[in-house]
Amino acid sequence: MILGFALLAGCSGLVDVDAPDLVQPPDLDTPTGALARYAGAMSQFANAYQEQVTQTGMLTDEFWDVGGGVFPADKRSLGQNNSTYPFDLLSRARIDALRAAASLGRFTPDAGEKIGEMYALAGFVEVMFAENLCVPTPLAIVTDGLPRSGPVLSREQLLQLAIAHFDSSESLAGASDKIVNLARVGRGRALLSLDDIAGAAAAVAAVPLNFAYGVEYSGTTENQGNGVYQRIAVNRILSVSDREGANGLPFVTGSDARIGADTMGTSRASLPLITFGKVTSLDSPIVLASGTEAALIRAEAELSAGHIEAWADALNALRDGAISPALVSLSNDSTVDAAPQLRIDVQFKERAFWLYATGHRQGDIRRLIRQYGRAADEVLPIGAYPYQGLEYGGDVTFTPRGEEVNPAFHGCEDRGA
Amino acid sequence: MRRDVGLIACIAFLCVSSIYTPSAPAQTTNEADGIVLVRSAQSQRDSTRATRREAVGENRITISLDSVELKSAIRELARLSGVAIFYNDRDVPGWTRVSVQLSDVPVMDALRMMLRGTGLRVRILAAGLAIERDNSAKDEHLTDSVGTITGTVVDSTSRMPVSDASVSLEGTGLSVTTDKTGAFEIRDVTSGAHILMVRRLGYRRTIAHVTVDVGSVISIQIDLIPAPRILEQVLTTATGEHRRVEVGNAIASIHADSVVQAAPVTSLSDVLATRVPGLQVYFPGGLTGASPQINVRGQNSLSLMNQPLLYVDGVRVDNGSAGSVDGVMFVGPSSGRFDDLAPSEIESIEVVKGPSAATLYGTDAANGVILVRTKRGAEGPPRWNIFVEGGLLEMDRNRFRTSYFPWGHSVAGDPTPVRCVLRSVASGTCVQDSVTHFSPLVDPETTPIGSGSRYSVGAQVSGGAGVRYFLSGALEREVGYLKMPNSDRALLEQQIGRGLGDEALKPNAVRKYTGRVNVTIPVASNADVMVGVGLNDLRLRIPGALAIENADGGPGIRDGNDGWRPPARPGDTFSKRNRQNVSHVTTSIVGNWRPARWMSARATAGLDRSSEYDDKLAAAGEGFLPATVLGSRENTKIVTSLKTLSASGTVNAPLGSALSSRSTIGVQYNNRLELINSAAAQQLTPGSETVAGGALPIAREATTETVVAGAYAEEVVGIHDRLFVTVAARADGGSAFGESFKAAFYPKASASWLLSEESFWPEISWLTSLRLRAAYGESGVQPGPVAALASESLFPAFVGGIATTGAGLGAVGNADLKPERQQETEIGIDLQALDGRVDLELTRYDKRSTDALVSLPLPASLGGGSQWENVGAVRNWGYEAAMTVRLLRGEGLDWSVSLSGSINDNEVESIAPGVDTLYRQAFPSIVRGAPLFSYFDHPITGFHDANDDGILDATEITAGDALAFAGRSYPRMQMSGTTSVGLFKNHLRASASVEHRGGFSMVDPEWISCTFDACAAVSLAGTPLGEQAAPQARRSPALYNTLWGFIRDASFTRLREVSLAYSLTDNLVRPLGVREMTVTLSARNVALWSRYSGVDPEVQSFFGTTDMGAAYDRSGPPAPTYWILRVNVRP
Repeated sequence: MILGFALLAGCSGLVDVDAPDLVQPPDLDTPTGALARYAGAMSQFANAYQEQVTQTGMLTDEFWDVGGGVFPADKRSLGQNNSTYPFDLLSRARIDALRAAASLGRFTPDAGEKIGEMYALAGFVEVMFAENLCVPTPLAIVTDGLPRSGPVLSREQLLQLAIAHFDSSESLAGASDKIVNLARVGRGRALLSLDDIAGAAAAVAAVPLNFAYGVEYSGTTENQGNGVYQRIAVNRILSVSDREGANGLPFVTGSDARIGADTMGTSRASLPLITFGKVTSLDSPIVLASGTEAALIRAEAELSAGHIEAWADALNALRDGAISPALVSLSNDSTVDAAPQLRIDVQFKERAFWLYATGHRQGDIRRLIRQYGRAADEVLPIGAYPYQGLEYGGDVTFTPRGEEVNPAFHGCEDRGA
Repeated sequence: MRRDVGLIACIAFLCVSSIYTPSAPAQTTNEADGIVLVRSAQSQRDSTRATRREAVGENRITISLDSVELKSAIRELARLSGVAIFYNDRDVPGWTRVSVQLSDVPVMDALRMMLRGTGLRVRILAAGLAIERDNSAKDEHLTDSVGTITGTVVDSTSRMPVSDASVSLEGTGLSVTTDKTGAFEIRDVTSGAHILMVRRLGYRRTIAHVTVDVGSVISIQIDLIPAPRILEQVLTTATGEHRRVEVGNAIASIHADSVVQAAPVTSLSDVLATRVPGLQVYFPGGLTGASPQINVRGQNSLSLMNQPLLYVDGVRVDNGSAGSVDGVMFVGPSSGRFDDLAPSEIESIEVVKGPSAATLYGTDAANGVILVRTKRGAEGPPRWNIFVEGGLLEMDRNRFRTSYFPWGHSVAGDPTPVRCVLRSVASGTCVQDSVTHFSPLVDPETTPIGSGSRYSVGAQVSGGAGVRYFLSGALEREVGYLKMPNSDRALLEQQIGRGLGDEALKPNAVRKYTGRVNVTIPVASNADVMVGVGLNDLRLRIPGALAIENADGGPGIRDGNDGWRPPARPGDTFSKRNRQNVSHVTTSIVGNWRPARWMSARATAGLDRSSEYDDKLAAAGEGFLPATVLGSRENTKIVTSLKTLSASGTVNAPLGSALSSRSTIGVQYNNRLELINSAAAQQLTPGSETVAGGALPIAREATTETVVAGAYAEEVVGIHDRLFVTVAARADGGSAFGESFKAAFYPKASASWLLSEESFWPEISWLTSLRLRAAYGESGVQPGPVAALASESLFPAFVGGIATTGAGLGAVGNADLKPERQQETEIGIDLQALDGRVDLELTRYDKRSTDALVSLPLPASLGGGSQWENVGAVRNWGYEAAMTVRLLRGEGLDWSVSLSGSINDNEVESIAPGVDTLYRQAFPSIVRGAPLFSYFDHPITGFHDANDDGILDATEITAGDALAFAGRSYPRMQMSGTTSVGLFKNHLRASASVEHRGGFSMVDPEWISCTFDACAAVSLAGTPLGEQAAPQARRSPALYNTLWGFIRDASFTRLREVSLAYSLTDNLVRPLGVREMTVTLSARNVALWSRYSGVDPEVQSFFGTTDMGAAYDRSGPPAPTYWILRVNVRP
């Protein structure tokens, strides 16, 4: 036995093995490794983002689950355990972005644009959490390249953190208009959620209309195909919805060129399957931030400030210049001559159509409830769920599934808007 | 010096003493002289017959004398043996009478026996034997009132002395043990009649009646009749071979050869199923080639595989699931390596159940060890064994679910037919007109269930002179019962414009070649080497994601999708190519060396190598699902190598007349290397069958290597061959341990006490033997190969319009990771009664897994994933019993019954700090305080048809707020019974075995059917309220969408095996030119009794590789019934 122990102690090499397919963190502590982390973060964000677009679209009136009741989000019936919100994917994307930013800063300090882009994406994840999730929200901190559980944050704290990241992004991106504008729109979006509409408008004041930051997808890259298209055209389980649950907007029957709704036959559950024009293949990008969004923020600021004509002009300018062929201008009945509540409806409807399927709708609806005094039952699908004989539930937020093992998180305290 | 004095004294005898030589006439005696000697019951021999042998003193003699004066006895001995015996007349007491009954013993031993108790001893002289005074002997026993009984105990068959036999004088407290010559002596025996009791393991208990006169010395020989018993069986352990009586654990042993010939077994798992208490075999589906999961004594690990290790001839053999990177495109029942070994090649199987027995097998052995010994062959001319087997497979009598469509019309007057389920009737939205029902599983046009067939042929030969050999070869072919449904076939053939091939029409089949060569070579008089090579070549077709489950929730009519729940249907799966080609070779070299009688050494080297090629193709334009029609291709090669090196040495040392010692030290090295290469592609060009033809290529590569190296020592002390105490320990290093953890140490101790052989044990007429045993041991399970390491994950990324490689956080690692430890205590009783007609084994075990490895989910806010930590604790405890009763034993009729059973209780003692629940609705959960992998959900606490309309809605049901235990997913109790009847001198044998598994539940997939409004409970008016409550609660968020009503008792009883074997009598086989011929007709899975409402409660699907313990019902294909005719011929 003693001999055996001596053997083990003296020949520890006996149990040494190679793990050639395992890349350990120090292996990537090089300039090339930093760029790989950057590429990974971009890919992770793309994957999480399309999922966020899908899930928030179902909870709201953008998408309808036509796969036979696969997604509880579509029924607005979400518990702690069946939330299909990609909280983990978005968290991973944020962590990878922050790790990549640190790695780039250490090994490729001249890559300011990329570093700024990473901070901006981290900020967008934080904005999405604030828009989509109940509160408080658990968020990781990243130290020494590894994520650790951080404090749970209120919506305001999340948004302030996002703004800080957008600030860093803009500062580091330097001469990159693309990233600077990305950070500006992100900051504007965060300020909107903080009900600082004027501040939001100021943040995006310099963003040109032709700016667009599209999240890239590729059907030939594993896990980076456009998941919205995948679900609609390949899996046939997702469809553009129309006037969903009484309060939904007419994304199909509105025959709006911004949506470009088109019938694709029937779904796998033999229900009508409608696709839309922005997404035509697994390669189609999804716009994360744009000059259009900046213009809409500025328009909302005009409306908020009581500059009705300026507001109407801003919306019509978009309809005239942001799409070809141009859309018919909004009538005075729906703008300058409309009642205040209708103007708000028009503002948010314009946002809904311009920003369709980009993951903005839930944040907007919650703002309608929170900032404009609408009831949830006035703005979200209600009544009979058109499948399985169910009723729509009452959820307006997602829950952060998979957080049961975080001792700092004790569940949602507020699932309202 | 003393010896010299004695010699001089002997020479002096020549002058002064009487000399008795063979020429002197002997005086004979007879029983009428007085003292009665009752002979041992096993020996009735001629009292005066003697046999001369060659050497003085060593001459062997048979002599029987009853109460003869000592001097006369000496004379008779001299006469019969022809050996001169010298003695001083004054020293030999004239009044002493002796009785001896000796058979074939050396003359010197016979003389010694006559002189026992006289104070005399025997010396060997050149001229003969001399009797002299033994000054060292005490003469106190020669008192006036007592006598002496001396004797020898011998084996009645071999005539060899039996040592360590217990000889006791009933009612006197006098007891001795025979020495190594089988001799014993009991002094101070009071005069009168006595009963002498002789006990020895491996022999029948023997009684002799003895009458002792004052001052007499009675010498007898007692023949013990061997009585082979289960405790005498030799078992293979980590330290070599031990008799079962020496081992303090319950170790199950199966003589596979006899099982294979008589029972309907087609695989190693079939051999094990129902034959080992505490071992359970779970099948993921009744598909040909599907690999089972084996569990011993319950589920131990929250996260790791619970499968025991498999050793074949001392070499560790891969027994994992095949296709470990499977899943690029296909999911389905997996095959595996466990059943690669052909049962016909196996001689015996031993199941080492838990850490208390498996300690010396080291890290990874905590889930038990299955030791397989292949056939070796015996010396002699070639002995052939040829077998031919043919059979049919059909579906067991299962209840397949029917889907319903309740037709109705709107109360608003719209005559358009609508689906009108009960709740719609209740809400007044429709009126039900009729209900149709349909099951695509039973309709002749749509069913994928047909019948299958199998055949197997093989031959074995063994023999040798000096070099022994065993050669075996067999071919097996089995076609499963699945078939392409007629309706799908028509559609597919129309789609592709040609007929479908056999592979699509019968998608599940296996063809297996097996071969083995075992050669045992004596390299010296005290050493031999056994070289063994086993080969298995497997061609398997096994369908991927099965569409059988899509019968749940079908439309209730034969619609455009032929009654299947859209979108899948069997043709989509069956039309895909899904092959596995496997070559599995196990090579072993086992050397045995016995440099001295008290020393032995063993060494084993082995390589187990399996090469698996997965060949999967969904041709473009073929199939029904969009993804399938686009086409996909995957080919994966997995090469797994297991290297085993072990060596040990044993020293047997007597520690005195009563003690024995067996000391063993050893080392062992196990290395497992798995290499995987996979190429896949989606969206194939029409006509393309290779990855190159795909638009979306995906490549994978993985290398995983694990090593365990350890050393062990064991000491076994035997006391009187009745009490055995073992202490042992093993130390291991492992490649998967964290950087901060160096070595694992596992201790072990056990005791085995053959209580009934003790002299104080009272005579109980019906009890043959009784053994008590107890054992404690520890073992471990090591983490996954890279679980301790932090890593980055690499994946394809598309950035800036360019495909590149991205990196992201992979695993966070754990430098402190160490093996999961298990401590087990086991106690048991082995009892044999009624002259060996009843064998009973009872065992109680208590096993605790600590430092249990938990793949602890990381908070989603950290990006999800998991981290391995040693945080959990699981306890298993239970009872095992096995009993064999030979009810009738005779030449004409032989009838035996075997019963075995086990009860296993299980509890998760802890998961992780702050974590009490890992809950998964519809799947087994992990909850502290509950059995591992149990079902939990919100209980339905009541229902009441408030409006008395006969229909329940959600508002009429109440559910508990808290999650409640709804049943364990694994059976708590397993029982099996086998009866075997032999007629006509055992030429005709009939046997049947029944298995029961109880105390577990499963979630009936009926809930899926109800979700699609296709189950009876939502469709049929008059459905009992209790049945309506389940689907209503499931669909109601206010009732937590609970599945409580679908979690159902899955207990079942199955008529597992039935067989009828006829061994042709000599007069029948002789004309055929063969020595033996046996014809066996058998059946497997003949009948099923269960109240479970799912298809087959025995079929369970398993989660992925890190959560293998959790099983659930996903409407997998049920177990088939086999009908097999087998002919065995020995030419």
